[in-house]
Amino acid sequence: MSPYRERYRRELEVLKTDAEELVDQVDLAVAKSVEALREYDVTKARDVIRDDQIINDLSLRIEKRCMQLLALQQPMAKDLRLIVATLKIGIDLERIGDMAVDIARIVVHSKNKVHVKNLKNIPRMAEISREMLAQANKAFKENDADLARETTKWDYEVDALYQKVRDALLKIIGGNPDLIEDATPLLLVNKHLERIADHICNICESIIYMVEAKREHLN
Amino acid sequence: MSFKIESKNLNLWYGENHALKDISIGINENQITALIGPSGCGKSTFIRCLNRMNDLVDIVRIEGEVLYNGVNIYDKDTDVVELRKNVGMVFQKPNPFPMSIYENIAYGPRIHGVKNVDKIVEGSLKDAALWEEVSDRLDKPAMGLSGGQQQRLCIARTLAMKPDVILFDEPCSALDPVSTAKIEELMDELRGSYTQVIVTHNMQQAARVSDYTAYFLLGVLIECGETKEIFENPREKSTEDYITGRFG
Repeated sequence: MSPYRERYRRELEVLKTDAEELVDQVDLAVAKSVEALREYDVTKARDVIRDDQIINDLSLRIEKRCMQLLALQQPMAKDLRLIVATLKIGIDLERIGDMAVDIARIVVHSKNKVHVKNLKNIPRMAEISREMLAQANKAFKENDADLARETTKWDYEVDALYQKVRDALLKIIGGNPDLIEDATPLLLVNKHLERIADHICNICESIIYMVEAKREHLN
Repeated sequence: MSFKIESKNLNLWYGENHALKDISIGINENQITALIGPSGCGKSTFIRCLNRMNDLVDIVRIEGEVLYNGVNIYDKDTDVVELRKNVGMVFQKPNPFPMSIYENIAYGPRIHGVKNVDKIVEGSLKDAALWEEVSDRLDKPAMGLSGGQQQRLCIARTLAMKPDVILFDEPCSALDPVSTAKIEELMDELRGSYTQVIVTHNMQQAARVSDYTAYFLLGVLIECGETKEIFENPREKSTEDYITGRFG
């Protein structure tokens, strides 16, 4: 039994490393965008918008690597599943990055300080999403489908927080219509954070497919 | 779905070399089954058992059964000529007879006593997707055809005998990609009408053309299943190692 296709093996390793780097960049974008929102830090928000180019470039690089591996190496079985899963994960991560940018834009374009300090559940949703992302990344690195499954369970908590934040915002708007302009963007932030957790669930589904070739719908 | 061919505990030795070990596998009727595995794994030896081509090798000893339509082809009273008429074979290297295109097709039916072979020649060439390329030069030597055309001529020659099983032993390994695509397309058209078995070193070809795939290693049938399962999620690690190129 002789090992061969060494270059191909190395290219698969590089693909995994790129995906892990993309996770790190996206995690940073989510963290900074919510910090910017909490602290009303326009400079930090602008950093997130600027650094989105890094995420876009990296996700394009991953897509290109996947297409080249598919076209040139005719991958099969677990290699094929790794490439298809990484391609899908790259799309989900890029979307999460876009949502972080949207949150950052809300900070930049807010005329007044957004009343996020009274909505502790928004940072909490971001924290959970970041935990989910870290755990999904571990599951991806270690080919751990059970950990990916476990990760998706946190989505229920995010959904519950989403409802709480939404109700609280509607109450604020109902109580003082003058706050509509300030509160409406937060409804969008709330939705983005809820969607970020959904995208992480998609990532977990891709990891399960990569490891076990099972197609599961978990959120 | 019924098995057109079924091997049961088939063992084959070349002298002292135990080349096939207890092979039990069913070949589904009117579907395409691909046999894959590294060189020396026994896939070509196995396919040659299905129409008793190994009888021609002196040192071969065979135990077990190969059932064709439920009857063991290794029974003493089997008519081997009739068997090979029903279970035709296309080889790695195109091997047209040194005669005209027409005579290549007509030869088999004629020696089986068929008088008017014009319709068989035309029908077989059409079924082999060669008619349009050769209909105006049927009297020309078959050796003047390209490699891909020669291989389709050999398939037409097989079809002229009205077989119900066609065995392909690496039919495209000597062909360019366009000729290969034509053969694969032809196999697809024959699917549903003929039981086809193909030995191939090209895993992408096995994945493209076949409904079922069997993986052989060192004379053992490691795994057999639906092609889409084998190439997406094989059950056996050894199969996965082979199809992902980790050894071979």
